[in-house]
Amino acid sequence: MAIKFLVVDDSLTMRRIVVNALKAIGYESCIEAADGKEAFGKLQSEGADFVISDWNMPEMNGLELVKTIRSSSAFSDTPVLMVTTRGNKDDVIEAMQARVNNYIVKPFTPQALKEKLDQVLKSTSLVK
Amino acid sequence: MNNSDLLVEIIEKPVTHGVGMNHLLKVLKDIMPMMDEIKNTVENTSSNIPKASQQLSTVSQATENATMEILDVVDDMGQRIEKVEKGLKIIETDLVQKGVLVQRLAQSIDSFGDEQKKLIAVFHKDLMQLAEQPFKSEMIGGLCQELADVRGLSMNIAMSLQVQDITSQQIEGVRHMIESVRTQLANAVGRFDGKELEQPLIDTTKAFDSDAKYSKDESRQDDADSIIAQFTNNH
Repeated sequence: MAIKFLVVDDSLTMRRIVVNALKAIGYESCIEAADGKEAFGKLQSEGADFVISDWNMPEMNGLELVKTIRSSSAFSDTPVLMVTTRGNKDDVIEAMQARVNNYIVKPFTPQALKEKLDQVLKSTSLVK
Repeated sequence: MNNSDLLVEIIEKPVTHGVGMNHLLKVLKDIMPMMDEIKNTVENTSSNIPKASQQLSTVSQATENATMEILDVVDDMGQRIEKVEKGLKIIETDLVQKGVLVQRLAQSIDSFGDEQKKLIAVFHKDLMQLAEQPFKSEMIGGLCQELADVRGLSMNIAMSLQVQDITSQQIEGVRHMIESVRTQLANAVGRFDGKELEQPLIDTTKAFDSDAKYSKDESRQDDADSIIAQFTNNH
C-alpha cells in the first residue's frame, strides 16, 4: 500500500526538504499545505494517510491542527508527526498531550525522519 | 549641580530648599529645547526602523530564493546520478551475458578439430584470455557505491538547507522586536503631541519561533525522545 503523506509547513524550503527526504526513503506520494487551515482542508478534500506538520505557522498552527484532526471523527486516527524548531520540554509535553504520534526537532536528518516514521507506522495499521 | 539634580531637589524639598518658582521655570525653560531635540532624534530614528525591518524581510526572501536554486541543482544531481546508476546496472547485466557467451565459445573451440583450430588460432588466444579474465563486477559495484555516496552527500546538502527556515524564523523574531521598539518610541514621542497610542504592526502572515536555532547537537532530540518514551509507557 502506498502511503500518502500530507506535508505541512509555512516554509517552502522545509516542505521541499521533507518531501525530498520522504522520496529518498521510498515514499513518493505527497501533498503539501502551507498552514494548518489549508492542511485540514486538503485532508478533507484530497485525503492523506499520514500528516507531517510544523508547529509555528500562521492562520492555524501545528498544535491547533493536531487538535482539529483529533477532534474530527473522520481523521482522528490519522498519524501526525510534528517536525519543529521547538525543542523545549514543555513544548514536547504539550504536543504529546495533544496526541501527536511522534516529534522531531529541526534540523533533522533523513535517518531521524525514517526512524520516527518507522516507529509510528509500526504502532499504527499503516504498513509500507 | 546640573539641571536634573536641581529639579529633583526642588521636587523633593520645595520649601526647605528655598528655591523659588522662577528658578523652577528657568530649569524647565532650559530643559524644553533638550526635550525637543530628543523628540526630533527619536522621530528621525524611528522613521528608519520600518525600512530596516523591510530589509530584513528582503534578506529572508533572498535566502529562500537562493535555497530553492540550490535545491533545484541538488534535485538535478540526484536525477542524473539515478540515470548513471541505471546505466551501470544495464552495462553490468550486459557484461555478465557477454562473459557467459565468451566462456561458452571458448569451451566449444576446445572440441574443434585441428583444421578448424588452425583457422581460428588467432581468435582462440584472445577468446581464452577474455574467458579467463575475471569479470570486473567489483569495479562496477565500486562505482555504484561511489554514486550512492554522492547521492548521500547531495542529500546532506539539501538537509543543511534547513538553515534557511531556521534563520528566517530568527530574522522574523528580530523584526518583531524592532517593531515593538518602534511602537514604544512612537508612543513616547506621541505623548509630546498628545497623539493616541499606536499598536505594534504585527505581520500575521508569518509565524516564527524566536528561540529557533541551527544546531547539530542531538541532545534536544534526545530530550524529546525521552519525554515521548514516558508518554508512550504511561498511555
